[in-house]
Amino acid sequence: MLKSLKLSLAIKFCIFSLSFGHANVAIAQNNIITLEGSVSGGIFEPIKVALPDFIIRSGINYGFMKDLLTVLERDLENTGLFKKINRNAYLSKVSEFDAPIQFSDWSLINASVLLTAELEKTGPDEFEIKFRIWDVISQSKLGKGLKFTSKTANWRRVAHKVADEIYNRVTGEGPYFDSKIVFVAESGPKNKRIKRIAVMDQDGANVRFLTDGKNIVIKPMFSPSSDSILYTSYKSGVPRVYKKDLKTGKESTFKSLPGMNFSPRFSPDGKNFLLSITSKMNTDIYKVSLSNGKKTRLTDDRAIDTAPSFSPNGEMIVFESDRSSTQQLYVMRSNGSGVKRITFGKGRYGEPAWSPRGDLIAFTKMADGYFYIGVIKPDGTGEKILTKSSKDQAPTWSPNGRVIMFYRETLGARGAPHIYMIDVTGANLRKMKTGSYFASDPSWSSLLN
Amino acid sequence: MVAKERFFKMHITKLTLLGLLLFVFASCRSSEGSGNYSQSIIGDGSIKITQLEDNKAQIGETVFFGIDESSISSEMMSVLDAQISYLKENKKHSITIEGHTDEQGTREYNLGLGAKRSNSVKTYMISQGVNEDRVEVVTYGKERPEELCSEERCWKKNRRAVTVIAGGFN
Repeated sequence: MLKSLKLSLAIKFCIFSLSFGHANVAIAQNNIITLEGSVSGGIFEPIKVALPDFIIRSGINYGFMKDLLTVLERDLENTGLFKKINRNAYLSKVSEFDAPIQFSDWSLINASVLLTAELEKTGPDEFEIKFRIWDVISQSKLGKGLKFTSKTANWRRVAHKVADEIYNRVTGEGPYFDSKIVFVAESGPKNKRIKRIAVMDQDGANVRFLTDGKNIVIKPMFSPSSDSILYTSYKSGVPRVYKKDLKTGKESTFKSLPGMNFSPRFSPDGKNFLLSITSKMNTDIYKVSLSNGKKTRLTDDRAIDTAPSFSPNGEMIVFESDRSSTQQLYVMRSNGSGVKRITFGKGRYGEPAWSPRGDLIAFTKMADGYFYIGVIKPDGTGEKILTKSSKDQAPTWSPNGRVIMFYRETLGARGAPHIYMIDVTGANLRKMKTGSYFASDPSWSSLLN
Repeated sequence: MVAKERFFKMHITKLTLLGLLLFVFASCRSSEGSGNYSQSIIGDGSIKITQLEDNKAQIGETVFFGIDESSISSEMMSVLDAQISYLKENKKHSITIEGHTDEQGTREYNLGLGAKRSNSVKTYMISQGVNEDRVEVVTYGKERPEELCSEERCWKKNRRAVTVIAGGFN
């Protein structure tokens, strides 16, 4: 995972001490990360990045360049790991893409990382960006320069992809900016909430509604290839799982599934999904084939078994059950065998989400009248609480397993949910902007192709 | 009739809306028929028609539950007994039992809990001689609170099962 980059010692030290602790060793081995070694909430210096205006070639206007730069800047700064250096401080301009870099000009203003880029129009609706990322301290390139060519309408994704390259090359962590969030946009009073499935870019841009608000909708989830979603809707009068193809907009349901069913989650290979089916007093977890609708029962306890989540290799499932009298987390093999309880702390645990790295399970915890978002290792050790409020719920992971998104709901008659993000280290809590809508039930896509 | 009035809690607003809509229809029809108005006065003649939801009619009183509970207390059994005797007298009605929770749990768990509550009521009704075919269940979890505050005085009113006539009165 960790690329063999010529990172200067200064940058390396800065990154890993500020946020990831000694996790970098374990990441390289693709192993379980150790959170104990990380600094959370401590004082650290973000990495200073110089982002001079991109060179503009024919057909590109200044505003377009600035828009791209702004999206990229926000991605980096939102991580809390990067800080852009104010452009008034810059000593030199980059006016020739292939000219040698005057490193002294950038080190004098304390830049650690420099991005140089050039934009050019290559067709009626097409542009390209060439860019290089520089380690100012060691005066060397951070990896090879790249060129992205894309439809002009796709400019935001291009900006996210460039930011992803910077993030990845400097931190050694997998990229995640070029991804989407599917969520429930809410409006109206608390007892008559209008709920619509919506998608947006990871940074909150490009909100698009996928359902019309006529029916209550619950907890959407992206397929691994991000081309469809599963969600629960009251369209038929009772909660049932639906699938929506995002290219055609076609909505389908699963006729083979009886009664009330909800809590759908895709398998990592996209061929199956898990869900809960309610029969009389009992709610159990089933696996359903997306190709033929065939269902396999995985749990048969007389309890509420729900909120399942596959491990990224598809071999294990974590879910919640109140079989012990209160909601707790359990893991089992993907065929339903070998059920083992993993939470024993004070309080109730629900809504587990297995990290795409496989190393941690995020959960919602309820204790002493508060809600918490936390993480625990799949073997039940290393529980760590990241947030606390009157109502924090429904964690979902960034594609690289470094950031957790969830929703926080305020209390009272005017109480309403909003989406938040926090680093897995517990640092950098921030609220998403979702326009005039309340937002709940977020689910993060994989990295887009 | 008196018994009926006591047992039905109509959603007055919806009925009023229905009435208004009928009134609008009525006036449109009459103007069309009389021919007193020219096309220009009527405008382009397009009236957006939106179908209203069925008017829900609740039978009897609401059944309340303890925290994280789906069992029916003896006090709530007498509430249900009144519903059951109504159902026995009015055999044409089928019912839906809505199970609801307070806002304190996670969303999907609460769907399971609401299902337990509605099924708990259904099981009791069947045990008291109500035909199973007349009873549907639905869980709303915490999606439709009745009371809005975030305190126990509201939560206890939201942990509930509500019996409604399927499809409204008619």
